[in-house]
Amino acid sequence: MQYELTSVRRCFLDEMARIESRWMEIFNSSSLQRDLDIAVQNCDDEFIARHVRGWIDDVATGESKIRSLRDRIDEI
Amino acid sequence: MTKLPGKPLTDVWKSLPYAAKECLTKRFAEYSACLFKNQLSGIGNIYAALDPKVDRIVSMHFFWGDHIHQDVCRGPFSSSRDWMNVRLALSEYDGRSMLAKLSNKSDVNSDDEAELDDARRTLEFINRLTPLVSQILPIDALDDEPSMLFHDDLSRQTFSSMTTASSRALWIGNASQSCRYGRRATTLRSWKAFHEMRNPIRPSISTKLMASFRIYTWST
Repeated sequence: MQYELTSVRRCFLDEMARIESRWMEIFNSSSLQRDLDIAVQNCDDEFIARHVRGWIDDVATGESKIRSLRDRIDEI
Repeated sequence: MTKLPGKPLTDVWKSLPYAAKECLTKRFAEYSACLFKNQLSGIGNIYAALDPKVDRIVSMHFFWGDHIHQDVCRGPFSSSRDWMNVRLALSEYDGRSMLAKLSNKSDVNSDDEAELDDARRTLEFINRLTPLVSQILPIDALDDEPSMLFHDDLSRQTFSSMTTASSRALWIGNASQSCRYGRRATTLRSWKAFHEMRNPIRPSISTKLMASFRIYTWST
């Protein structure tokens, strides 16, 4: 199941890169903004609180390579 | 609203061959690209009109609980920054309300303690996220940000597959939202950083968030 989801996710991105490269450019350059939205949307969610806290810690301390909040959550 | 025949995608997902899933994915990418090419400006909702434009927002966060009664800006928002700050304000209201409610209670039980912990943690996160909103989404333009149509509640549950005489069709929607222009409309989201490409005639940029939710949908 997870393998298939990962595959169709890759398929979606490949297709978007093929038919709308500007969308892909934005997607590739906006991970931090997307993570911020996830954090704002889920700031009251106890189930992912440790991931949100870890992400906030990293951003606030100016870590150079911040692991995506999306990736942290997906690994639950 | 008309009820269409079919089953939620989540019910048929396991029985679909992978090739069909890939086909649906590519179809969805086509829709996404089409929406991306037809951008609007500002963040809110569109309503039935000859010339749809972004107006007040009616997404869930703005009316669940008693948020509908809160005196907050409901858009349309000219920036992602404004939109996020209002969402944080609504969550902060919830946290403070919970603290006030339980602090006045004489017999606090374990459930109440858990609620208190949740409320305190939420307020802590909001306190720390507020400066990050300014940091990550700095003010750099006065005009409305470019935006695009966005389904606020997209998941396999809100996809329906429908077998037609000729092929398997895909319907996106649910009881409360439409992915097409409609009275309830679809939430619009937008992002900064692409203001240099904001000419509305040119199929351009926008919505980093759109990308986010598309991908999120496939991962949950």
